[in-house]
Amino acid sequence: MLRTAAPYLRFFLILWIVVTVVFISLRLAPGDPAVLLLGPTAGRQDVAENLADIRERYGLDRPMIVQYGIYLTDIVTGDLGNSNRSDRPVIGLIATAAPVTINLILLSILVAIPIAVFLGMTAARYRNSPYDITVRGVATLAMAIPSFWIGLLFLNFFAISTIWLPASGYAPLSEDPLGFLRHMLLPVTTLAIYLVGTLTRFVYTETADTLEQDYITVSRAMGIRPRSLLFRFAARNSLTPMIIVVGVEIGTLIGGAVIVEEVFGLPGLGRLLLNAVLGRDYPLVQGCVLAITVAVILLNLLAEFIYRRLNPQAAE
Amino acid sequence: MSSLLHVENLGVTFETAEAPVHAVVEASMTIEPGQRVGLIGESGSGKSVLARAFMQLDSRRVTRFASGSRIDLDGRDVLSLPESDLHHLRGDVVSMVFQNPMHSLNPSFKIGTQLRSVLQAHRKISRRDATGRIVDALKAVDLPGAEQLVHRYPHELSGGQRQRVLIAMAILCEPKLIIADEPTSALDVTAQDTVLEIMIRLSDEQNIAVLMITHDMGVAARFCEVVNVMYGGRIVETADVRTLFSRPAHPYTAALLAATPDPARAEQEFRAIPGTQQSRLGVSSLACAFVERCPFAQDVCRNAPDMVPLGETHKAACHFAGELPLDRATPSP
Repeated sequence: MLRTAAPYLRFFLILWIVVTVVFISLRLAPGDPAVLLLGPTAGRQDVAENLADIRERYGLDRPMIVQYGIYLTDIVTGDLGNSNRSDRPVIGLIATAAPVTINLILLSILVAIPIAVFLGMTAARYRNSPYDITVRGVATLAMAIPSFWIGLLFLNFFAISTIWLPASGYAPLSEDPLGFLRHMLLPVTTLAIYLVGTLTRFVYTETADTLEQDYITVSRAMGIRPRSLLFRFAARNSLTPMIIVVGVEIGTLIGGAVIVEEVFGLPGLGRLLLNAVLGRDYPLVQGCVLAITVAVILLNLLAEFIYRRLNPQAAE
Repeated sequence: MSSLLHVENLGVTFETAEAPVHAVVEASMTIEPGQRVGLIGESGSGKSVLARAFMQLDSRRVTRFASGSRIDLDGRDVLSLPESDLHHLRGDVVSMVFQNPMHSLNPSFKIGTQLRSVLQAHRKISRRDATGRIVDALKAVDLPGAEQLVHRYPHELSGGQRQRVLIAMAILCEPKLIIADEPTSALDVTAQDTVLEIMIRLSDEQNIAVLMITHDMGVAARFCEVVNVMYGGRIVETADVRTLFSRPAHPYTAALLAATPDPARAEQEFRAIPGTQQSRLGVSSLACAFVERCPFAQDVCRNAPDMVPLGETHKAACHFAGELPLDRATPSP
């Protein structure tokens, strides 16, 4: 009973910790949301009343522990509140921005996995050949180059020096498929480059390790062809753990999405969060972080579930 | 009747970063159809490398075969076969059973899938016929519940069961030769016995020749008709099993037999052979492989001896073959 409940308990524990840490760290950060909201006029004598008004309206004048209590109660009842700055419901803002980020990350993963699997497996098959050394070198480079720099290079080349692709903005897939692709191409490539680097190195290590296992020698001694040995048999052994890695990388990718969305002007969750932080929009920051945390935890649980299904030994 | 396997002057050298390793030197041996042949010797004597060369299992990129080497297997000149033809040989004409059954099956695939992939690599066969053939093979190695076993994963089986699955895999395509590389060393005594029993029966019933690689004298005595003794990369003695155990002609064979613990004389000390095997890194040595450790060594032993024929099947690579006072009763000095 306790064992079956354990993953859910863990889920809620992580959620509570994240929510609390965000709440505390936001309030420890310098900057008064009421002052930021009023803008440059906030220092004037006649708006002091306004300031107090705002504090009262958003509950900022109450003791922090009370704010925390209200905040937790609201989350449990599904109310993330309104944005301090735009006054629109946080849930609505997130719901508008999330598809952009989900598309960005999903496409990056879909692009990166086949490339990484092919490069990693073939490099491991021809270990220490010039091909292998090139692949591993490029993969390390792809991992090491910062996303914002690649993003800016792309922008400069494809959207500024030439005008092949739009420099900024977004078009929803359902309304303008071609525009969607044109807007997504550079951001997806930027994010995928990092992922290809990480995953290629992982697939390479796993495959090289698998190919040295006794059961591969046995299959060879039984006349199984090298191609089927690599892509049918060794593939399952070395690719199953990749699911876990992709799950773990989701967190890193969301971090990457913040930067990529900012560089390419995509109206996604990352950009929403960044602007909320800069404007000390407490409810919006809390809402964004909550949404991202829930997504990361759920996706990792999903990755774990798939891994257990594919790996008969881990299932027990 | 022509031999199933005929190996002549086989030299196997591995190119390493430091220097070449002469793993096997001028080895010659013959296996007749259906014959059970032993290959015994201590660790590092080159037994596995020799046997793996028969199906070219070690990567050809780092393996060099001495000029004049010849391997004839079932009428094929193995050393001149292109890599693409070797796949037809492996698993079909010659298959192999390995030492460690715990690591020899792919943990991610069901037993049935793994066996079927071997069958389908060599035969055009429907899924249903394949399953029938697999169940037959599993029954032939005395595995109960064969129909259910194909749906199991390797980790659900014991070591002895897995080794039997691997033997079933080896006989699946009705090979003419099975190379068994210490198939019992990783098993407990009861499982060892079962596996040997099954292999003897299969060899008899299906006329499959078996090359048994072992360092266990008991296994060799029980299983083999003919035994080859290997030392320092060379085959130093070949004899039918009775002759080898009663009248060894090579000082190494005699010392090896004397080192075998005898339960009837429990009080005796463990008689190890003094010294260690020489490294075969670098230049290939021209001396007799055993010269450093041989109590009878003379000046003439600085030149490698040829195989001296001593009987119909008995021969030994020693300058003094047949002349030395060797038998089991004589402890090695």
